[in-house]
Amino acid sequence: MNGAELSNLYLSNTIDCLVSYTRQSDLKYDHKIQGKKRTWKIQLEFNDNFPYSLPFATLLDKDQIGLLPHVNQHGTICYAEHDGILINYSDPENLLDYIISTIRNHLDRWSLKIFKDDLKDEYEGFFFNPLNEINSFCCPQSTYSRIYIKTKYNKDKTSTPVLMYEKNSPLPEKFSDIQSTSELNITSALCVNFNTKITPPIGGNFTFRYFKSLIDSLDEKEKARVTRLAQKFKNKLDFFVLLSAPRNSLNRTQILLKFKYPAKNEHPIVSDNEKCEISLFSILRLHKKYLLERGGAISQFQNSKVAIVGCGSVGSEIASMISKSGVGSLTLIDHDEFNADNIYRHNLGGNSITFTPDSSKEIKKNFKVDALKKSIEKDIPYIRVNAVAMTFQHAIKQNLISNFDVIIVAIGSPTENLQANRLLKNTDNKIIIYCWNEAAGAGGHSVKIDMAQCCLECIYINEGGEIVPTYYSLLASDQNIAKNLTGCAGLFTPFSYIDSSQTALLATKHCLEALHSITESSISSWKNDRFDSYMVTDYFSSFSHTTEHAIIKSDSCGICNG
Amino acid sequence: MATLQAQFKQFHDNIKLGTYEENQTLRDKRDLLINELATELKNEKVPDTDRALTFSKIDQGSYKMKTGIKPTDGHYDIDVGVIFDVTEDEYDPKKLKKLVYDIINKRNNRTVDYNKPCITVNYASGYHVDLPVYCKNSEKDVKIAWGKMTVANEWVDSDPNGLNDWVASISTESKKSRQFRKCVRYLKKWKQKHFSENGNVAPPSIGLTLQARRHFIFSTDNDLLCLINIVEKIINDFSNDFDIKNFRIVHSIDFKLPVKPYKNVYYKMTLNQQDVFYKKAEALLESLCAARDEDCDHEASKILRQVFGDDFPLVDKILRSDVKPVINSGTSA
Repeated sequence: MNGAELSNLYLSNTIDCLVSYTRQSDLKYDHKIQGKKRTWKIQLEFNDNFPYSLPFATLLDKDQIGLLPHVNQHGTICYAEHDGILINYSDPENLLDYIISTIRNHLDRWSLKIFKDDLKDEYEGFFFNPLNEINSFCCPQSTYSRIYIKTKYNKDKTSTPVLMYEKNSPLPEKFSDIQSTSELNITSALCVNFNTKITPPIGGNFTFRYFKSLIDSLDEKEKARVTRLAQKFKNKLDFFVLLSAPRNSLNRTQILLKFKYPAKNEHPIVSDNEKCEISLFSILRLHKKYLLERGGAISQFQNSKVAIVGCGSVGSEIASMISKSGVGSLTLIDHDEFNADNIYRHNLGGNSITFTPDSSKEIKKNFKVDALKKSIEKDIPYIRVNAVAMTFQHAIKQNLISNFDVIIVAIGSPTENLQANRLLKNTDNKIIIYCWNEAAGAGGHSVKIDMAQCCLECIYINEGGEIVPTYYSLLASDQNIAKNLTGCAGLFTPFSYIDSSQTALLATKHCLEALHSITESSISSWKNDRFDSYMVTDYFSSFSHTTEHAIIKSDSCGICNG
Repeated sequence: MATLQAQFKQFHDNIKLGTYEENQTLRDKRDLLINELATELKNEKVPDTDRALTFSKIDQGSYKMKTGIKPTDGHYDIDVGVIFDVTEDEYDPKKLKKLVYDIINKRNNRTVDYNKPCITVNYASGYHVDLPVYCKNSEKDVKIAWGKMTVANEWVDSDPNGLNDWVASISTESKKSRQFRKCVRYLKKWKQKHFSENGNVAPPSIGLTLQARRHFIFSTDNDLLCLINIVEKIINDFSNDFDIKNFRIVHSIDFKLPVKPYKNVYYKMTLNQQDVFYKKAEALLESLCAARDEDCDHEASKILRQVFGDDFPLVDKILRSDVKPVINSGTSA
């Protein structure tokens, strides 16, 4: 909507509570709105995308800033969520009425004393500034005596904070580009811990006097502690202070302050020199407790141990999904190297391929497990990845596959799956998941086996005790499906990344079920409903999209009945 | 003027916790402990006599008074008194309380604390039973064993039956006593949402119950008005006091038990905690009045949700069009 259209909208609309309005610019209007006990002055700033997006609202009554919740230090009113909303853009008149009356109702309501607690609970939001943020690996639920800050040294001899952490908890060095921060300076920040919630300043400005009033409001013990520690700081140009106060949730309010003086000064907690510039830094939380919850991962899985045998197209995708579910320990077992053949159907890509010869003029390939470990640890800060570059037969022989909560076998070959089944039966692992794609994009399977109930062989054995194709196959057996592009050495089974992702999803769901103690043995299958390239089985024809069946022990199974 | 009586009814149904009679589980938990105590005491004698040491139980607290609300953390709190058939001269209070403590402390599925007013039995499954121990000089003269394990205990005047009777005597008309109990539950829900559970920050529920009992005036089909009256009177029970330590005027409260020992029910709260209680009660009253004065039920329900939490139903907004201009869809990608 342009300025003229918006002007017409205002002219044609009659909103009960609107006392008057003034057009400040094409898309900016100031309003006087009649509330229950007072008149509110608000500004609406539209953009030309209105009515497909809502205007930003600002409270112009500066004396009310710091008294009302959901109104930040600049007066921005949080009157509606801006994400995930469905706007009835077909009726802009009604929308404008709704916006103005909603803001009026909110402001009237928020001025009640009972909402004051929300204001204290949103202390961080009150000062939120996306341009002044600091990464923090400190626990959002803990109080500290002091924390450490990596800083970038500036030409004016002051420093800019980059990330903060606690002394006794090492940084996840492999995560992202954390290692490159090792060259930064390290300084410490004194932490001021309140035992009650704190209220933002009226008017919104974080002044030195306001800071001093906060320090004065500390209980005597904490005030004595921070004074004692502040006195130990040498005189310098800048100081950092971390404010920490309780919230309704377990996470505490945390906000980092930087005090910058024109000349060397004592610590602001013990100084009365008001001539300092105070900057506030919003905390970007990276601590495990916060990230797992924020990202939808499951924190109880942090103690879980999962192994993936086979890190090809399906296995690598499972590794990626499992790592993002919050599992704390992942072991990858595969003896293959990663090369360019795989990049269109593997979770890894060009980052894991080397074209540069090393000192011995060799172009060394990465093992899939090493490349995956590197990729996952760079992506996820709180996971231990153990790479085992050997065949599963060797790994089992060396007792490297034991004591896992879940093992996922993503080898693909039915014979190797059955061999793994036999070898794993004698280990102390309880839940094994086998998964594979069927050829040519026909579908895929994940089989969750509780070893106390049955085993994989139970679905491959006939009454005579012979190994035969499982009933749960999608393609009729004995068809020539493998392709080669470069002769016998380049023989491969055709399937795509999407196929592998669907199979990986089934296996990951099975794994998470098992970690939630849902251990019943079952097979999940997906199929391509439009598949008609090869002959299919009765099982294929028996369902649409996906299906799941319980698996029971076969009387003929030599392993289970042995 | 909003009353939101239908929403108050729904809210009450959402938060209400049944009595022993209505809740088999709670009854079982209570009976298990009392039966265990009776079995273990079977061969116990009153000191220096051949008389068997016997007792009767008395249900106390919110289950008895029918004012219980569902705990947010699933941590149920059961109060059941043990009145021994001994006089204060026949048994030392600490010895008798310790006898109960030792009997209860034999099992390993629970921990037992010897507290000043009672023995507290904590179960791993998340509930605890408070067992005050009484002696009985006569039907009208009951005393509670009072004191911690580390010091000498004493028999202190008490009247658990009288307290139950006083609360129950709110009215002979069921609709009136029902509204009283509903208002107590509303107050408890407010307390649950706005006070920390740590220490004595929150006013004890028995205090709110007794103040509500004292000030209750029935209001036909209008729980909101009934509650407003109670909260106004609760605020009036406060008086100005001087906080010497912090050199300021604060609000303090001294509300006496209506039965023996007639002491202040808020005696554990510090001056500052009493002042916070006053300020929160003021904020409560302001909100209840704002809800009452609200023309729009939707807005009134939003205020009451801030007071009581999401158990209070949100009334749909009446719009000038059937289609809502903005809907939170919750979608994301």
